Amino acid sequence: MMVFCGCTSDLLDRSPLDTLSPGSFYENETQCKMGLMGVYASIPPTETVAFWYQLDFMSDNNYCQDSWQGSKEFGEWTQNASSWGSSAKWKQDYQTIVRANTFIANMSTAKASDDVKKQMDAEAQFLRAYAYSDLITYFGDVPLIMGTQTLDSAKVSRTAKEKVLDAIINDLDAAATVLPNSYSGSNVGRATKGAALTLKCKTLLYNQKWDDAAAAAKAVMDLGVYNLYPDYAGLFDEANENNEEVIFDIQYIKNSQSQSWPSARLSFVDWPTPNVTADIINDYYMTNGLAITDSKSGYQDQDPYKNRDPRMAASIVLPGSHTASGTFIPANDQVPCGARPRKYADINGTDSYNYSLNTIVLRYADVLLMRAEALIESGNTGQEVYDLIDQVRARVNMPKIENVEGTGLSQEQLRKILRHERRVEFFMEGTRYPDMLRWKDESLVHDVYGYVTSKLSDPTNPSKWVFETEKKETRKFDSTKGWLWPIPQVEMQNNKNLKQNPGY
Amino acid sequence: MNYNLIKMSKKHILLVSILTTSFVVGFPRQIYAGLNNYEILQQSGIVKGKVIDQNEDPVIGATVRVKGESRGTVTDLNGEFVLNNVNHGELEVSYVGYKTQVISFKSGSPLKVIMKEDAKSINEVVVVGYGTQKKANLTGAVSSVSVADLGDRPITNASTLLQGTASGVYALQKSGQPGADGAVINIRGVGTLNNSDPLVIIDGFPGNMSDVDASEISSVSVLKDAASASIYGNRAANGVILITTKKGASGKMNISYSGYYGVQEATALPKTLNSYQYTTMYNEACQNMGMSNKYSDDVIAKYKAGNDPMYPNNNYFDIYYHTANMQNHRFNISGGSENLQYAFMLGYLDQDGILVDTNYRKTDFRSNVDAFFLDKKLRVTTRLSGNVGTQWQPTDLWSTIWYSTLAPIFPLKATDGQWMAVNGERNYYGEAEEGSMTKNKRYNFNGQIEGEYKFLDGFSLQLTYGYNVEQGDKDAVNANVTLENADGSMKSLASNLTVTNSTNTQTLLTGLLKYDHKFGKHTIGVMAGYSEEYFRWKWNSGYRSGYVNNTQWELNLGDASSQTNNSGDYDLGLRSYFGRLNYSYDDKYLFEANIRRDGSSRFADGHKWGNFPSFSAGWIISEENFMQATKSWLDMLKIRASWGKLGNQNINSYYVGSDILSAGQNYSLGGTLQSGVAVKSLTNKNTTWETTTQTDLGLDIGFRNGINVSMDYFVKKTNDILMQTPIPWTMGNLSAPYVNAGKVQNKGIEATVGYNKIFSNGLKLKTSANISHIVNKVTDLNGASPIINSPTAVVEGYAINSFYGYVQDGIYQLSDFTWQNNSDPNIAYANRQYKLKSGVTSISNYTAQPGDIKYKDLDGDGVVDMDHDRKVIGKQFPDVSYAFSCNLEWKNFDFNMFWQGVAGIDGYTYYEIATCFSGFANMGDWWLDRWTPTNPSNKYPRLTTDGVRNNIHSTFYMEDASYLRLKNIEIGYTFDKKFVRALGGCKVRLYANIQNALTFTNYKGFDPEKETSQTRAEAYPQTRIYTFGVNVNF
Repeated sequence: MMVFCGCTSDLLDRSPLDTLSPGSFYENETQCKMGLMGVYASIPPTETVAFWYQLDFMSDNNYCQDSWQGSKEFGEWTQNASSWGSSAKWKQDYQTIVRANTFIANMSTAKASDDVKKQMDAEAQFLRAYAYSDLITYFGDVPLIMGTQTLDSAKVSRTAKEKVLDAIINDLDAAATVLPNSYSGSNVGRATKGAALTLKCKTLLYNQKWDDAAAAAKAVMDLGVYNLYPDYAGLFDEANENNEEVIFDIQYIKNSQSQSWPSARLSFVDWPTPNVTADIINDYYMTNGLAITDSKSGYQDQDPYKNRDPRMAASIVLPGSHTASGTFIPANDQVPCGARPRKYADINGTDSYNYSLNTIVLRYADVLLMRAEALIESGNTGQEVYDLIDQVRARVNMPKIENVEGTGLSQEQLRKILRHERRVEFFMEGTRYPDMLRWKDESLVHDVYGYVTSKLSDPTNPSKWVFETEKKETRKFDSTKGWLWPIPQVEMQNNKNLKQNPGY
Repeated sequence: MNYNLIKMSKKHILLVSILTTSFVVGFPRQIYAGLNNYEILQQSGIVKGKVIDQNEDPVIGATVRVKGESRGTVTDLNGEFVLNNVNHGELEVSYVGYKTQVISFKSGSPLKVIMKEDAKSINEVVVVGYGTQKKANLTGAVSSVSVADLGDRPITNASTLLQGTASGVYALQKSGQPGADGAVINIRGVGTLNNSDPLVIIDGFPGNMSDVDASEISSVSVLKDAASASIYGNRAANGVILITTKKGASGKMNISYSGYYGVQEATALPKTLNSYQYTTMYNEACQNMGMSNKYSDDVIAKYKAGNDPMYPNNNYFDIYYHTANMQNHRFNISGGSENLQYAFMLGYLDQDGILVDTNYRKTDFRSNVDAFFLDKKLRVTTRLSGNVGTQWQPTDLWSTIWYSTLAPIFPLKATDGQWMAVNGERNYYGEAEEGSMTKNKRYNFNGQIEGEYKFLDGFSLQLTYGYNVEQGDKDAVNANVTLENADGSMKSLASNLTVTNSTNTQTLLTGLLKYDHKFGKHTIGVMAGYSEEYFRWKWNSGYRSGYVNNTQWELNLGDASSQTNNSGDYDLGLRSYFGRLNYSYDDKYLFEANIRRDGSSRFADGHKWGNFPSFSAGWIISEENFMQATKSWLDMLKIRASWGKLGNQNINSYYVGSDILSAGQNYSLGGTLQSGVAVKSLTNKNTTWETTTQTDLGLDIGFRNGINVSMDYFVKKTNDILMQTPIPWTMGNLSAPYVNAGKVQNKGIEATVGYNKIFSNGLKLKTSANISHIVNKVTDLNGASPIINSPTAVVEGYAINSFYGYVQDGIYQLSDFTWQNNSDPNIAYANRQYKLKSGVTSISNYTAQPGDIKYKDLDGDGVVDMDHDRKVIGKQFPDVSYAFSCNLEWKNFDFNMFWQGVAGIDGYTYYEIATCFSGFANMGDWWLDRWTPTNPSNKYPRLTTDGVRNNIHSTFYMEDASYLRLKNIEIGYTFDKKFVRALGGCKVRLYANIQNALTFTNYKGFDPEKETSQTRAEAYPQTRIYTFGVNVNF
């Protein structure tokens, strides 16, 4: 009777046709690399709210009025345990961790040379540390899972943040000893020694381990591999990907592996409605290094973009500036604040849904500023601090600290300068929000202001425009929540051993 | 196959018995010349006669047998018969729907047999699993749909004919889109969290109702309880629909044509704001948010004046939707001789859709041929059918429908004729007009050959082999389109093409051995069977962008550097052994048992096989001696009871028992794509099918006055529902393994009442009504309750996928707040700093202001929050579904009316027009009644532009979706005999018909009949169709 069915094997004994079986994998180097790529594949965000720019939307730099995108409630500190942002981050990080764990377990018995196995292990360790570092930043204590799991062992409880931190540093130290300084050709983008050390520095800094953080930053600098890329705007240009400043980035290519929520659309009128707040625009200094509030700055409030820190125009679509669809006229746009991000957007507007600009996760300017911060916080206010910050400012021709604020500044003064520098340097890079979390500075959570867009309307006569700001959105820090995100409600339901963070 | 014909008028039966296959069952008038001049040959050993009905119309195809012998014949086209080599005795004349007549005869004497309609329909035959059964002897709950009573409704998808035509069957048309207008069918409630579609068997072959044309159907049986359905084992839990297509019968060849032309329009589209209202109300929202006005007085004045094309007042519903034409043509040929009977059917449908650039064209054919050999002991049947359908729709259908809700202020075209980028974005109307269309061509072919051999006395062996091939060719085109921005600059949308080819195949082999025997008062029937089926689904797709023109869409013409491709492939094998035993004693006591043993490749070894038994019994009380006194008014009284087990193996995975390493987990390095793999799901090798246990109690009553009642009570419990019980995300965000864990219960009662009467003035009345009440409840979710998927959730104790959210508790009024200066009423509204009075419930999602929606604080802690104050707020299944039909015939006129309704069901609409200033969408005109300080509405909140305030799921967006609808109304006229003669004997009937003629509902905005998952204002509207048609019988 089987003849009629045309089946070659037993009718009821079917196995998957278009997927592989894990039981018979890791037989050679190629298969091992495919397994490793599966771990890397977990790094690019997929859920809207998990994109790095949504973190900026939660901070005082930006604002997104579309609540469905998930960042709005976090910006207002009205997030709850059912909020999407929290579950998206939790899911993605644990996906990376478990894929790395599974890969490391499989590598122990894989049929490949020891060198290859060591190298790939180290990359998996880096990726695992990357995910854990992210988790403790937002959730505090999190379950520490370093091996394979079964359904019976899956009901984990939260591990103290310090212990998780130890595990992260162990992974990164191990990775740093094995990983090479750089790659070439179709290996560019894999984790390097510099990436492991920079992530180590960042994680230590985020957890107030100032001396170790400063040392890790120094180790990166001493590698002699990285430099500041001379052109700040060009740093985020697809033509200059993988340049000397990039330490680790999420790699994309057109068609087959493009950004799933393309940041190109940030500059387009339709998607995803990203606002730049008046607060950040006003926080960029004049080219003379003075704040616009300084009476000697020369700032003119009806010609507000003249003589400003060049990083502002490089990062923001300002009223009247150029975009893919012509001159940006706030009155014709949906963003209530009247300004849009330019960094990571596609200002030329070609094929914007198929966007492959790499997302920089770690770059050298951050290493310099992280070392400066670690030194300041550990009480070191010496010349090195000035030099580190000045290096970053020099790239965009901003004057030295010494020439504006003078020398012999106090820890408090330098801390203020450093924090300002981080804000303007890393705008739209997903840095400001975690900085707020770790600095625990409640004054950074405040109402959103933007331009009165109806006064920025006449396309033929921008000289008639009136720059005036108004309140767009109420934001108020909820101190009962501390500075932590909620453990997702669904996960609390999935696993009764988890305890919720306070305030949720 | 003729069981349903009893429901037609007698003259219908005459016609159908000739044509058997044809569509002309709606013809009310006889077409035969009178019965004069039949001649009777006086010949020895030969008996001739004629069988007529009470109207003296010939009865064609009646069986004439010599009593006590197996010899017999069938009446011809004139109702006449001849029997040779008989001298005297008794003749038994029988025909479906008539009382069997026994008359004595002598050879040579002409006979005239007058058949009398049998109200008891004792001979009515119902199609059941792998066979037929006399309706009177049924012990299970089987609904037979009276296809003939539906008139000539423009049914473009056969699944919709189940709507309102059978009790316990809830059918809901998904949309009004041509080629995508099938119905979601739930039989006796949804009993699973997985696929709840019933098994559809077309002429013995599992298939899809869209592959059979309504006019080709001779009967539909819905197997509702376990007794009738368990013969289909692990696929029967959602009920089974058996469709039999028309066959040929011996007699004169019959050729017929039927066709109609129709015009469709949307049944309901919401009334929305005009540009003036929209802009002024938007400004009001800005003010409420403490922001300056978005639209200046100048701009509003331009919208109001309406003479500047860049400041239009566009009703986008009117732009995207329009009336649309459709036509349908069908040809049928049927007939045959004693040993060869045939039916050939050919049809063509061309239906434009009411949405821009939607269209469907389908050509279908069917050929059923029965050949008899070896003194009719061997029957060989071939059934061939196929259809090719081409469906066009805008490539981004979702966005196209979405854009039909746009605010009226956006210009569609610039003054220079260029399509405008609406709000600087897209223009799906313009894009569709420029060629951004998807063509979906689908070929379906089904072929079967079947042999049946009768041997010994009462045995028969039947073998069927067949296969089905479905080929899909889908070309999704995004054309090169240039759109103009508001500032006059241009924006180009790049073109691309995605081609998807799919081939789905299905083979079937079935063997049946049957034995029927009657001895004394005992009647037994035994059936044993074997079947095996194999399914394979395979698809390949390719993509390229950058096409140089908008006329040639072939993959190879795109930019080679952009190409990508993909594929998928899965299969399924099923093997089954089954058997049935029927026993009846004295035609009063009935018993049936079924068993099926099913194996499915879906599950791992050790979990593949399951047994599905059922038992049922019936007692025809009215045949008892003690019921003699009731004979004068009671025709039939039967009680039925059944119990059985059914399975459902239809889950969203073909290989639940296999560990899977997913490919496609790729990453790019240095500009090169690297293949990656990862485990994405956790496997549970112990997974097996779901088991449904159903108990049914039924009552059938037939009164002498023509009223028939059938009632059933059932309890249907599904255990071991295959669900993905959530696992911690810390396991790696793996999709959870399927576990046999959930439990769902459906309890219900259903009743059908029919009344047929022929009045003395010739008026014929046929009415039927049915009503069902089903309570659906999730009883166990293995600790995972509630599974929230806003705005719905699966919650223990409630119906599946109930709506879930906050409960609106009016609107915050001024009296709920205090403000400066001891709430000084002289402070202008806009300048007040409102503070909630203590004791008034606050909301964690936002700081409440007067005019905001107030929600119920369910846990009483004074604050409404997502984690503690949401609950089940409504359900997607009706408490009651009901229908009523009425057919009238008088002289040459016929009239048909069909009402259908549901009650106690909720609908949910949010975003777009339902939500205050959602994106670029317009708003429903009910928002004119929004809260303002001077219009303290307790229903609609104040206007805001705030997503947090507006996008909370609650009862605010939910409505009672009950409706009563005049689904169809039809009037026809048949030209009388004189006219017919003038046309050379053709019979011609003209009719006019309105589908979805009238709807009574409180549901505002869109049509209440929409797919339950459709919770945004995005449904493709249902259509009202006006048709005019003709039936010609040559």
